[in-house]
Amino acid sequence: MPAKVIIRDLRKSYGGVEAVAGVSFEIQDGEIFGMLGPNGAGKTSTLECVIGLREPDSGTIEVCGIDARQHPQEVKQRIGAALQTTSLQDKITGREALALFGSFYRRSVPPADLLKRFSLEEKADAPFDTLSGGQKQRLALALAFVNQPELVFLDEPTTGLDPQSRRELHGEIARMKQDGHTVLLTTHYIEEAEQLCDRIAIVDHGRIITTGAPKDLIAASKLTQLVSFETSRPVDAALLGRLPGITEPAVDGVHGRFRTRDISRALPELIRLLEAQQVQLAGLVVGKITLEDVFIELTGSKLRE
Amino acid sequence: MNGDLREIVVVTLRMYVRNRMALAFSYVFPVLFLLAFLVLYKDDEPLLIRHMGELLTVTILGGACFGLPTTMVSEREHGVWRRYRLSPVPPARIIFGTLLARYLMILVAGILQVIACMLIGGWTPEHPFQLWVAFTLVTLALLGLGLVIAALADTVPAVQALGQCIFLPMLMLGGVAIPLSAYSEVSWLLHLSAFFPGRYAVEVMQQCAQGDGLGPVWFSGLAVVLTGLGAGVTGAKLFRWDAHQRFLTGNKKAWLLATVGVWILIGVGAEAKRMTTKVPGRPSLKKISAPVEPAPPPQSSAPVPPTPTPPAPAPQVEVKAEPVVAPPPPVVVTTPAPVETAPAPPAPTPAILPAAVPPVAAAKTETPPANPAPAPVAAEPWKAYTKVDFARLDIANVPPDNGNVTPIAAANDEPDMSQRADLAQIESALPKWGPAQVTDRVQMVRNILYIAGTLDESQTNTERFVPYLVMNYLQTRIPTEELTQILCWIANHPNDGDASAAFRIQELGVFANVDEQDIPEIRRRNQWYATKFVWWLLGW
Repeated sequence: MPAKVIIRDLRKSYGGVEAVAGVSFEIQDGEIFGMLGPNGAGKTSTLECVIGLREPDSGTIEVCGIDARQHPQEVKQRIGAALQTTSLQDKITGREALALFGSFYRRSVPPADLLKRFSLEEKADAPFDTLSGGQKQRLALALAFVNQPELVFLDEPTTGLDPQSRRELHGEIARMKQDGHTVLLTTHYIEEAEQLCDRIAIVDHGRIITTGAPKDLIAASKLTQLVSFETSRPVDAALLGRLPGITEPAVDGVHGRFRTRDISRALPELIRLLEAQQVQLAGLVVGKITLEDVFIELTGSKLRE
Repeated sequence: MNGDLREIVVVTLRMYVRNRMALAFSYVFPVLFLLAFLVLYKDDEPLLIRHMGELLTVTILGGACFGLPTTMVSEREHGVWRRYRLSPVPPARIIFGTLLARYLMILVAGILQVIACMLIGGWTPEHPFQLWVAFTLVTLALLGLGLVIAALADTVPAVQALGQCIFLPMLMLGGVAIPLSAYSEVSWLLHLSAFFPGRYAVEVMQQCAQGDGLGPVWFSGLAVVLTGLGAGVTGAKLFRWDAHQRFLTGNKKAWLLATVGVWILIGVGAEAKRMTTKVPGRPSLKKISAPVEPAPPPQSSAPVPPTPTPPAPAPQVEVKAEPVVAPPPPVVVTTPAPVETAPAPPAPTPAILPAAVPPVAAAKTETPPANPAPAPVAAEPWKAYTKVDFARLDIANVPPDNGNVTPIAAANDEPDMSQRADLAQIESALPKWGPAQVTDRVQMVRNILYIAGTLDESQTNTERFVPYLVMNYLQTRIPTEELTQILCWIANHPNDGDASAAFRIQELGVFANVDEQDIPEIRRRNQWYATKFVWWLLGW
């Protein structure tokens, strides 16, 4: 099956600053694809070029098999999108907004169905300016689904939401995945990307640094894991240093530690050493490499800096 | 209507109804303007009909300069339009839907305003359907300007500033709130007003409310349509989905010329049209530049006849008559009492007229005799008048055309719609007016002059245009030479004849408040107008 989205060498500059510097990626059908990066990395600019909010300087954009730069209106018939902040007229109700936006498409979902699905029935006839942040964002998601889209674009949908609203939205996005929707999600929350996305692209300075499933990115990382342990009596530091595949060995009384890239090999070797010296293992902690560690390794900076 | 367009219109109208400030702005302000006009023009009869064009234009301008762009820019600032942009609906549909909704809002305000004026004034529009057409054209044209404002302004406060830049000049200089007739003595303002679309908007709607419909004001109708097209093109080309989308770069700036250029084009066209077209009711006469030094009397080859001053014994009318001949040379006036100290008595009766005086003064009858016998020359002393007599008229002491007394509109001074309506009313009623039917030509000319003199004395707003109408009427009925002689006679004998015509001006459908005590002043004005007309006819 051909990819739902194919982006090739996308570029966009603002007054000499290149916000998108040759971005290329593909999104497969039914996949939730995340773009992870700090603010100003170029995620939103890339997404806005794809959904037709901005005219790219160069590059090709193919969405659902359609050249999005040549036929943006046709692409818009097939996609749904929720921006970072969705604003509507202050006095419009959710029901009216869904009816209005539904009228713009060849096919649309009845407002009542969407209100039910996104738990907005109680607020269906409340003016937009009386809704909470989470309710507004749920309405934005409902609007994104008003045309039964083949592909959904979510631009940092949980930014600024309280933890409960964020959890609710995560639930909605997880449901999209269960329903087989293809989703492009931009976020600067690593846990959100890790939890929701099948694949992610780490973006920085307008470029995609790497792309892959979160576990593959971690696995492919050159970072080492820290292993800390406690024994019944001190271990010989020189023997510990001879274990294969470890670095930075250290022993401080009954506490010892080392770093390794291959935990599956290093741990059996440690156990064998302790048995040979008749030292009992009292405790063991293996540090986990996180996506954030990978991000810092790749970009040289923390995500929320 | 497509489903999406219907939804846009319905939602826009709902938002409008839910916004109390917008409602107040759209419906309370027109009422305030209506009340202001009611106070200003409380003496109009019927009330308000002469200002419908102005009232409706103010209402439309308010919606176009503030209502539409404020809504558009506010929604754009909030990102509503950006959300629209995510959908496949084309921008033209959004714009058209928004304009249509705004048009409906303004239409309701306009209908309410017309109904209120009809109830207050007790009239109905002359051409209701054409009034709706004109209203629609004007609304769309001015809404186009609203689109331009929305495109230029980044914020709502900027809309207010830009809106005022169009709204106020249109009101003050474009003839929307202040009638152009108020600028009659400041000709550059009149020229300037030709470059403001508000003037044409007022004209087309006024002509439909009280006039001959759109036909006679085709140029103004065209100006309105062109204004709308120019603004529409600019508004569409500079349209922005979101506030950060800058347009003042590259060639986009040039699209502003589509709006400004059309205004200039229309103004130039109007000025050119003014120079090549006569105002209805205005004869092709030379403009008087009074006061002027009288030209030296042309020498007639014929022997100079004696001054045709009626011979003694002059009746009391003639004795007190004020001949406006220049001081002596050869002629000695019978009793040269100054006008100021010689108020004319009431009109003489035939019984006291001398035989030498033609039946001019006695001609009171409105029904001509079945077979009027031609008057003998001896009974028509004015027929003896020549250029020598014309030249002796005291033109130097006649008030100037651009003053308050006996004014005559300058060649570039156009009547506004209200004035046109009054002039048209007089023009249509004049042929059937009793005083215009008298068989005595001198009295008939006097009676017609009373229209100019009385309206001048009453300071009606048409006073400076009426002289053209009067001369048009006289010139089409009396040979020029004869008319010149009669006018000269009247100038020399202002207090002769019957003055009852002054009291019958209202039969022409215009308001004029005349008392018996006004008659001497009116006679004096007739005298001055007669003098001006003589010089006019002679091309001096």
